[in-house]
Amino acid sequence: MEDVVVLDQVSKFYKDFKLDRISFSVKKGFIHGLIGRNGAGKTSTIKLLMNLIKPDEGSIRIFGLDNREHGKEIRQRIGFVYADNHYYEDLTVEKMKRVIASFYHNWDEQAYRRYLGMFDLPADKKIKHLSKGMKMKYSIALALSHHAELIIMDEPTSGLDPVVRREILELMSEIIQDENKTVLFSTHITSDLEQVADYITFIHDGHIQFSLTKDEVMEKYTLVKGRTDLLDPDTRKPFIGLRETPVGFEGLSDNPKLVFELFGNQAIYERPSLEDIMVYTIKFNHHAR
Amino acid sequence: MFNILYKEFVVQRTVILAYAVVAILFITQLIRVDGPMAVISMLAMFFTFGTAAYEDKNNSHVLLNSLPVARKEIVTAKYVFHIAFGICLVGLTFIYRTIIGALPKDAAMWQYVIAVTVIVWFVSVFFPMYFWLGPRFVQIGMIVLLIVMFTAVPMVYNLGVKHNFWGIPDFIQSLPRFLLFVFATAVTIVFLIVSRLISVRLYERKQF
Repeated sequence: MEDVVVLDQVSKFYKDFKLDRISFSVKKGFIHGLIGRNGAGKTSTIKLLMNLIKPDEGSIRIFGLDNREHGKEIRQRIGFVYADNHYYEDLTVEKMKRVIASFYHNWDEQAYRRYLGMFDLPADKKIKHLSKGMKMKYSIALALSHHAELIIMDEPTSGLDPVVRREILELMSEIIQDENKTVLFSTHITSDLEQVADYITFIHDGHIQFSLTKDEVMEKYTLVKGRTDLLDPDTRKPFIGLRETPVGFEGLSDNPKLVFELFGNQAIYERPSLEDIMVYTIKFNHHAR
Repeated sequence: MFNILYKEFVVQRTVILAYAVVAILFITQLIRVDGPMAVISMLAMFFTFGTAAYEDKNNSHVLLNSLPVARKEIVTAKYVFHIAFGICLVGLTFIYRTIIGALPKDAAMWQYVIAVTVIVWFVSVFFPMYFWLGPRFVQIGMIVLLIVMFTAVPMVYNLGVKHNFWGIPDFIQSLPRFLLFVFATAVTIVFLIVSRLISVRLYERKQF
């Protein structure tokens, strides 16, 4: 499978935060979700891909090209959608479109009109008068109207009502029906990823926790429930996150085989949701190991 | 680069129109001022400050740098757009004076050349400072420009009139015209090129 994006040992240092040697790849023709809590480094990663910020270490290749040397050429093939509106609020939908269209060689006016109709977007309305959901849809319409091979979306569903969220997720699934297109989107809403993502990269505190297919993630982790007296320094070791209550414990482990050997039939084993994985990794990990 | 110029034009269309109207009021002396060319140059400067503030308010650097365009082109387009705007304002004065029959005499022609030169020098100073200091420079610079426009410029102008501008115009008049023109143009062009080079370097280092 062809890699559309490859990040190799990329670091970015800020005063109070760092992205620490992150490496992962995005496969062509799939939806790749970037998940993590707010401030985990998702937006910084996307900014690195878009060349808005420079890495302090490591390399980024998109479509097989170095993204610093071939930024302009690469961006011609990328459609971007950001959480915040960066379009000129005083322009109408139509005027802003004219500006954006002038930058792309493959601008497809017919496709744009189709999306405008699909999203019920009024061409003569000023951008500042659009709702948050409409602004997001408009942004998506622009990103999809120049035959971009890679669609990068930063929190496209954040703050939207469930109906619009569902529409956007369904659209993502439609986009990758064309096998030449790839979607990379960041979110902190785990259910979005469960619905549409093929690959998931979990980023926490500037580190990559994992970058796997959705199925691999589900197979890799197990949620164990049992009595507290089963826990001792040895049995705690295989847990990534552990939550103890007076009535028992719940723990997330990335070694299902080992925990079954340790607890056998004395514990209950469940398949964790992405939310479980995220919460146990972030919130309860200090209790384990 | 033309797409960036087109973007600047579409985004600033209403503002451009407003500045043109104000410029016409000064040019036609509906608003009476001494030295309308100086006011025209000042208007061009305010326009540059205003557009920069608007871009910062919209955080449009993120949008622009996400589009398929090189940072070098963004910087070049800014220079071209703002110098072109200044030339248009000066051109408007020229056209008006031609229409009303006040065809420019040799001395008056120099006013246009000086106005354009002042605008080019301003743009050459503005952008490196702006890319270096960011919105802070725009906020402070705008206030400084306002103070200069309404206090220092009239004071210096009145003082100049009183003292026949300390003989500077006579001195310039006494110099060979062609040589003076070539020298001033060469210095301005060199300054502009150096300024653009610095701006490109600063802008390429920026992180959004």
